[in-house]
Amino acid sequence: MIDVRIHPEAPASLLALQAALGIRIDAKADEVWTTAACVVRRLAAVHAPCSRRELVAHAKMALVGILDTDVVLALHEVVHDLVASCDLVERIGLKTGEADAPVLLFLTPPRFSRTPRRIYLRGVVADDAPCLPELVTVEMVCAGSLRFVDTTEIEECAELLKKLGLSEEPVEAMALPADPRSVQELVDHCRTCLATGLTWNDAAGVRWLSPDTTLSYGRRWSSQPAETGLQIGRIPQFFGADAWVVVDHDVKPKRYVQLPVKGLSDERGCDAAWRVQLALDAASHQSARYDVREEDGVAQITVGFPVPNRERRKLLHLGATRPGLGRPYDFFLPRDVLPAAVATLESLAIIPSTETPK
Amino acid sequence: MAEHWLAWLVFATEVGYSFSGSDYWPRLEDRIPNWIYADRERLASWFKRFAKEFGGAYPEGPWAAQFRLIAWPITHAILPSDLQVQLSRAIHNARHALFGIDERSDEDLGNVVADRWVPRGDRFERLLQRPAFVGTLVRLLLQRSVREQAIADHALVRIVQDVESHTEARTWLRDARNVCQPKARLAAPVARPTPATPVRPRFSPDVVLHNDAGKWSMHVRPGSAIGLVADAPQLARSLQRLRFSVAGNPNQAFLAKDLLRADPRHHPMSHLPPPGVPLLTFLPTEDSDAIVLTKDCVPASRPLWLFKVRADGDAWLQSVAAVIPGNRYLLGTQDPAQRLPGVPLPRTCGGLRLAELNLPDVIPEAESEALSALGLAVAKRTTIRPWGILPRLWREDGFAEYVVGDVLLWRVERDHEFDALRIVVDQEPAREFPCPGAEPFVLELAGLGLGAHAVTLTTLATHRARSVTTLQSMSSVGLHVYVREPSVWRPGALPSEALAVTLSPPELTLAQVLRGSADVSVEGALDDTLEVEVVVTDGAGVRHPHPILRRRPPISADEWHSHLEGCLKESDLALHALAATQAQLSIGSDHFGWHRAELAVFPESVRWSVDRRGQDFVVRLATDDAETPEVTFYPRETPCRAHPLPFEDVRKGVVGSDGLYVANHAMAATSLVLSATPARMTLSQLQAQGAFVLEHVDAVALLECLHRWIAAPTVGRIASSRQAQVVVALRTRLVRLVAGHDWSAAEERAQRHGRLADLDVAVAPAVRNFGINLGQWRHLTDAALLRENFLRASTQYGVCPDRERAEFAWRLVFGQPSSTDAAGLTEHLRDPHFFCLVRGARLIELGYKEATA
Repeated sequence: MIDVRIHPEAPASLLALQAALGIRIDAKADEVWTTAACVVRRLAAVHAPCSRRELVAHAKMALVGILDTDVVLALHEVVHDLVASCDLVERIGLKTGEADAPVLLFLTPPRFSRTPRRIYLRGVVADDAPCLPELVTVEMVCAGSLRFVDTTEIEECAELLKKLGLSEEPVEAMALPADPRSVQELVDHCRTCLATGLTWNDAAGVRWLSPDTTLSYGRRWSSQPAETGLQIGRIPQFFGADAWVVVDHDVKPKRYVQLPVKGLSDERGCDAAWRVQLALDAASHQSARYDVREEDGVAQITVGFPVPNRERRKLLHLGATRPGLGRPYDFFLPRDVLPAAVATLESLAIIPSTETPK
Repeated sequence: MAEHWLAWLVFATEVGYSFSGSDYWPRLEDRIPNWIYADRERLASWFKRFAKEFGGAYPEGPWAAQFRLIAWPITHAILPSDLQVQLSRAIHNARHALFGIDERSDEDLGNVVADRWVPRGDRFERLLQRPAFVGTLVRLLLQRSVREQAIADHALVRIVQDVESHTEARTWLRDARNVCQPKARLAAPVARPTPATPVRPRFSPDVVLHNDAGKWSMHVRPGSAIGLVADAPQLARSLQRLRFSVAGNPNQAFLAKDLLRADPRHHPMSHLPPPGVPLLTFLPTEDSDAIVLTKDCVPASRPLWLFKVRADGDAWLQSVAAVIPGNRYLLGTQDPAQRLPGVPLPRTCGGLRLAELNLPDVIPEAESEALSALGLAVAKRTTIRPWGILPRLWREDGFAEYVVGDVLLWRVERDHEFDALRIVVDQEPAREFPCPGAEPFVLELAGLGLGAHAVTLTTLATHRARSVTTLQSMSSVGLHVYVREPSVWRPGALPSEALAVTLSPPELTLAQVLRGSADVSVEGALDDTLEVEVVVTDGAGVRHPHPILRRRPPISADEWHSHLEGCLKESDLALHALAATQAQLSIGSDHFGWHRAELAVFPESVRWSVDRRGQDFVVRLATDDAETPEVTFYPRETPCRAHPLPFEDVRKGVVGSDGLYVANHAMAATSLVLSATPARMTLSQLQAQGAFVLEHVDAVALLECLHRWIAAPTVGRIASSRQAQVVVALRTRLVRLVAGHDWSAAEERAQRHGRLADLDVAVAPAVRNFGINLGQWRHLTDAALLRENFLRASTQYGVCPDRERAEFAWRLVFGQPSSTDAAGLTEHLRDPHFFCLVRGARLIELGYKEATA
């Protein structure tokens, strides 16, 4: 007998979606964020390799009625989290016989890593083909972009996953070492690259990240370039997402380089751009801020700017979850890892909101 | 024989049916006693006759162009037996994309199969290059029928039986049939009825109300007649001479040719014309085209004039009295007693009393009925789209593909109220679900089994008459859901490639790779492991993978070259390349799977093949040409002395000897350098073995010989070094011959004493500074710079003002002579200063060797 039901709008439809996806959501994790991450991961399984913009468009359609404000921004953050949690990887795509080399999202193979009491599951299978036994899926818990199984029988579970063909990787593989460069070194490095950069020609559709730090990240984007200094911009491409560039407005003619420039630790243009912008903001004594609120053993970190992938991975590795789609740059962390999380943010020149800027 | 030509074609095609990629002619020969080799051409001419007289197939494509004789029987064999299993597998791979096979063209089916076939570089891909033909075969194997009756029924039956005689092919095809021919078929779109008489395109001007600071004014927009003229070209001439006037203003006439512009001018109109009066009147009124155009401009009479307000603020007259929720309208009437819904506007416009109507996104039933009473139909839309768990495929015509186990979630959005939704899935009884109001909701269907399902959704409204409540159907939609099996995950197989592979030049040939003139570099993730291999597929479809290197990224071009050189020495890559019909460069990554680049192969119609037989090589010559090639062997010890070989012997195979094999045919030559290795000698002993005996031949013959040796591919472990030895010896002899006896003696003397500087003055006795100048660059190791210096000095010192001649001399000493150089040498030798150029180039070469040693 075919089961037919009717669900009114959210929250009832959200519960129906969670049941249809067959997911168990961690009690501390945000339900909407976690559901969105599962939906996006599943869509990536069907559409990857694809551009981030295409994936977000599919997700927007799939989650209509659940997401309200800033849907696209929130979904981009979900995609960034899935990249940070190593389910997806963003690389230049190559196809034989095609001249285009767009930046595309690719799936990573299914694999797992273990801690003394937990097994983290990573990777996505094309076409969402089943790769885990029911024994594991019923125990699997989702928290934001992370999936894990809490068990006391770690060895047996790991053996089972290995037998099924999943490879094991050390849990530390997710946390990359921090970029050791200081703010000034980073800015100097950009200037060095720009000295041999290409000459800038005004193009249609370029978006600029305003140096005005009093605005939220979304509102900092405008079509008006700054008059002086280094500035991050995005140039529309024929295919895929817009390219990230840094432009030097101080030289005549203006020069630019596409991000990431050689020598930066970031693989993606957006991560390099965010890192450079955070450094530029700090250099102009307008550092981005974070705010911490502690409650019931949980620390909520509110950041006013996107965190690059390397540091985002570190935060997720520390056990961070997301509080909700309305606050795309916030993280929930266990209180005991707060010092490590704060150190990660401060390595990016993000300072506490109570601190007087130098 | 000729009178039974059709019988011979049948026989030749039968042999083609069992063709496995090579040796067509030997197998034909085995089955026909007294077969004459020259009859191959006659067989091809009969196939041409068959194509002409009986509509037989013409072979097409690059393969057919290359193998022009055997292409005929192979093409007529339709699907040779060795490709049958591969085609079955390809169909199975693409089975989920073949749904709706009845409604699709053969070409589409062929493309679907080709797109889903992972390139392996085999002969099957040549079949996939003909999508329409492959589509016919797909239809033949899945439906046991073809659309084009070009293939006889008994031939079809035989092919299907032969394919299904392979157990795995039968299983694959059975699965594919189940998928692409579901029990409940997707309904084909209904063809629109063709009108008995063609409809004449109409000219239809628009009436637009323009809003200027809250004040509405009426205009007529004639609209462009460009489309009309495209359908009736003679109208263009009429419009050049006609004029038109606007209703209410008969005294002013406008040129009708303005209507030939993309955006003709609009004209103010004081009043709407009375019923039956045209908006525009074309002049002169007695002109036949003017009569027709004027007639088109008569607006239909209506009690209410409905204008839709567009985004730019203008309101356009609607031809159909229907409103869509969420839009803004102006309603107008000339009847003072007519009641208008909406907000009345204070001023009239064009004689119309107006009211503004802002419709909400959802129109309550009462308001909808009120509008209907005024003669306005309300469009009611219910949108169903997948939500949450999106299907693998969703088409606007209502077809969705899901995987078994998926829960179907559809979001239903509506712009009108209805009370219930009736759902019918397949043959199950209808179920009704209350959903009052106009809010969107999510419909969930779970438990759909494998296969095709028909889902019908009907919106229902409740009608109460006295004590009787009935549900009345409002609108209905049918959806076709296809549920398939999930894909199977294979550990280690990745869905896509993501390697930064740089090939230079971007489109490589196998010959370039073997010559070392192709650069390959790879970048990838640091913890990845890369593997590069050259995969050669021979005529029989056998793949020969040759691993070149395996290491962590990056792989530089230099590393690629050094490993390739080793592979060419140690493996049978060169040997397999001789018989290659396809080749690929495969770069594998532990993380990202395989990236494959096609290496173009141009199989020659006359080609050498080499097989190992114990310690020996057996050399064969295969030809698809009509003419019999001339075969010559040049032993390594006497590289200029030709030994003719009987073609028949070489065709059957001869044990190879050290030296150069050349087959001359139709203005071209196919050559091969072989190093046959006796077993008991070490490589270094072999390399040092033997001196060359160069006969007394003239310079032109020497140059021809040099070209032959340089151009030939090599087979054997030390063939390359032996080829290089021969080339050096031939070139030295040639250069000394052209440079003259006294130069040769001076060169030997200088080399004996290690004093190359002594040669400087001997280069050009009449222009001593030329040689001295060239001698100054002796320390340089940049060949390109040396060449440029040489060419410039040749002109500066007046040794030779002809740059082309100087370049020829340089090429003779340093470069790779071409096949046409031998003819040019005679001409250059007539120049009394040519020997100076050759000496100069030789001086530089000796210095270069010394500097790079």
